Amino acid sequence: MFQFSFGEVDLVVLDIPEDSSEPSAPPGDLYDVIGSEGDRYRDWFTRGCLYVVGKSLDPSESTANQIVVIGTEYGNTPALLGLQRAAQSQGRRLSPQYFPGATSSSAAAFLSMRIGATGGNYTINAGILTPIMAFWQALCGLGYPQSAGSRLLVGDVYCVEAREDAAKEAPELACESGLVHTCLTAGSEFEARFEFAETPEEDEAGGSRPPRTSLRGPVAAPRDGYGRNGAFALADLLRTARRTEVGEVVSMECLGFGGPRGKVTITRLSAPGVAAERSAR
Amino acid sequence: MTTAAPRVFVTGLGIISPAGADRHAYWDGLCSTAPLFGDLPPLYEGMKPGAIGAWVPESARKAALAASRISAGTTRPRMAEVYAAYAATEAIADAGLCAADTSLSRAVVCVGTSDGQADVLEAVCAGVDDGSGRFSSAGIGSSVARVVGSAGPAFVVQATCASTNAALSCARDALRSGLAETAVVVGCDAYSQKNIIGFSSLQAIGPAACRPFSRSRRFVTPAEGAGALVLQTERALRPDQVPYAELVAASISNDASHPTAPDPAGVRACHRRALEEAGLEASAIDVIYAHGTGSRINDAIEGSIFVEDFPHAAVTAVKGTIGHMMGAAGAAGAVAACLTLRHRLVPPTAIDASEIELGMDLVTGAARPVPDVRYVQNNAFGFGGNNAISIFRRTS
Repeated sequence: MFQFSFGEVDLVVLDIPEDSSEPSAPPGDLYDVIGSEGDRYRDWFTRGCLYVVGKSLDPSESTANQIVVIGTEYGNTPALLGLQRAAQSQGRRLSPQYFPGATSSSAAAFLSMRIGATGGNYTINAGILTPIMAFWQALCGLGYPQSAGSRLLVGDVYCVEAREDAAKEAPELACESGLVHTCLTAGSEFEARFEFAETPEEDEAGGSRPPRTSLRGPVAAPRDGYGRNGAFALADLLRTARRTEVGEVVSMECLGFGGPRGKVTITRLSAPGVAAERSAR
Repeated sequence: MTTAAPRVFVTGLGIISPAGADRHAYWDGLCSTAPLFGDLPPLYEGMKPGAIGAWVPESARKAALAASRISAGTTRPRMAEVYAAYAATEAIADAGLCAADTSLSRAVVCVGTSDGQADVLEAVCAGVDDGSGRFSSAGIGSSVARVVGSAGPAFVVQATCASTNAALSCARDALRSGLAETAVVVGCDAYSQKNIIGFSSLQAIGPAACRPFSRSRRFVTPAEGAGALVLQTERALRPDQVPYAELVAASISNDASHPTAPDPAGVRACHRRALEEAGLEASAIDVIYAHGTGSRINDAIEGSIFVEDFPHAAVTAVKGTIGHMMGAAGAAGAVAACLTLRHRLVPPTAIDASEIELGMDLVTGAARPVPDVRYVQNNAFGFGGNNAISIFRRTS
């Protein structure tokens, strides 16, 4: 069980056409927020992470010793593919600047650099359970001796190849691109309890149990229809928690392919501070 | 976390590396320092021929494929997953556990990897769909969970070459927070074309082998493999288990300064954090498994910290023998650290004593007995400013 508080909940949604890996309408203030230096070597996942944090960051806030936890299934895949393709097409002209942006944790690295977060970073992939595990790890980070808070980001920006890969497991789950961000801090406003179990692969009727993410709480209507990207359910979970009264609970459950199940239940322990939420589409 | 944190012990080890399959082959390979390197074929026009790399030997690769049954029948096996499953299987057996054991049924599975399912991504890049599966790295965690018989949380942690030590810190969190009583931690990476291309573009690989802390050092030697550790809380230990070590620190930090070059202040800060977590002074560390990549800048920064803060520690660097296992590098160090505590021996670094650039106590020539060893430190750093250090304590 963890006690904590959290700040603004920011959600960025990127509309990417089915046959494309690029957003059709990137945020108009994208480069005002993230800058353009080295942008040629960044993919849309890194841009999205820098943007969603940059939009909400208070310049007077001390970010040193914060940890960065990014929960993502596909993360910097476009940059990984981009480096291999650039090597074939550019040969001797291949720039050494590709590589730093083309690791599986590049977004976390560039975000740590951008905000000066020296607490360390984790890029976590637990399939459908990614939002649960990333949230759990970010809460664990609050217990580190030097911790000044945990920057939690969850989501994916799907390139064509990522959508194809996701469809191999669960073609029924939509892949909508988006990223949620909040900053967790030590506090006593909320309590989070985690449960993990295995669910039989088949349901009571003998049919296969599809992966799904669902939300239950007193303020919002129950929802089961989330797609693959855990950003949206996590954003709803945190925003719903913000609206609860003392003693009320809200929970998010993720059922993965093949049976793994994770559930987080948030209970409000004390009266609201300044509730804040923002979104940008 | 409201209750006193339980102590965490290492009860099982597994590894597959360029030295072969299993911890005995690994230890023998480290202690002999016989060369395990070969040529890396150029992957694109800008890559010079003659670069040096290291692979899991064919016999070990076949053994791992047969034992794991992953990717059976496909033309392009998911080798990181295969290596991970192999190392995990060895580790649970070494711990005296089996997949049907109740202590594993709720175990946390935490996999550190930098390049994940690189083989599948290469097939996608080449426009080949040969049925080898998905490239999402989460599949590695699921596979390991399956082979160890766990229905508990399974996830992958990616932090470049610090991935395994980062995974160790996640597993420590899981055990200390009461999420589980047993954790299986695996570090794995298979040969990745993307990685070789990247290192080549930085001119970090070339025709000379890795020579950690040598005046003549120049290149990194990329390698592949996986290492695994079974972690158990004191409560979960059975009377017949003899732990290799107690995990007393698994600390991470980030330089937040440069995408590829390490920052001396950041690396030093991570050392400080690890010592604080362990409740130790630097003088208590007896042996250090250095990150020791053989690159000019890494070894200069790391070495100067050893000289200034750890003058009494015996230092060794296994990458001169087995190469740099990338995301699994921390696993190679962690497994070796535990074996040092078991055998009271420090394997040598594969350079001559006359080559040592800095005034540290680098073990060279032959394995050095350390009968009174108590604390062994394992360093792993990576691109993106990632720093992660684990410290192990002798238990008997």
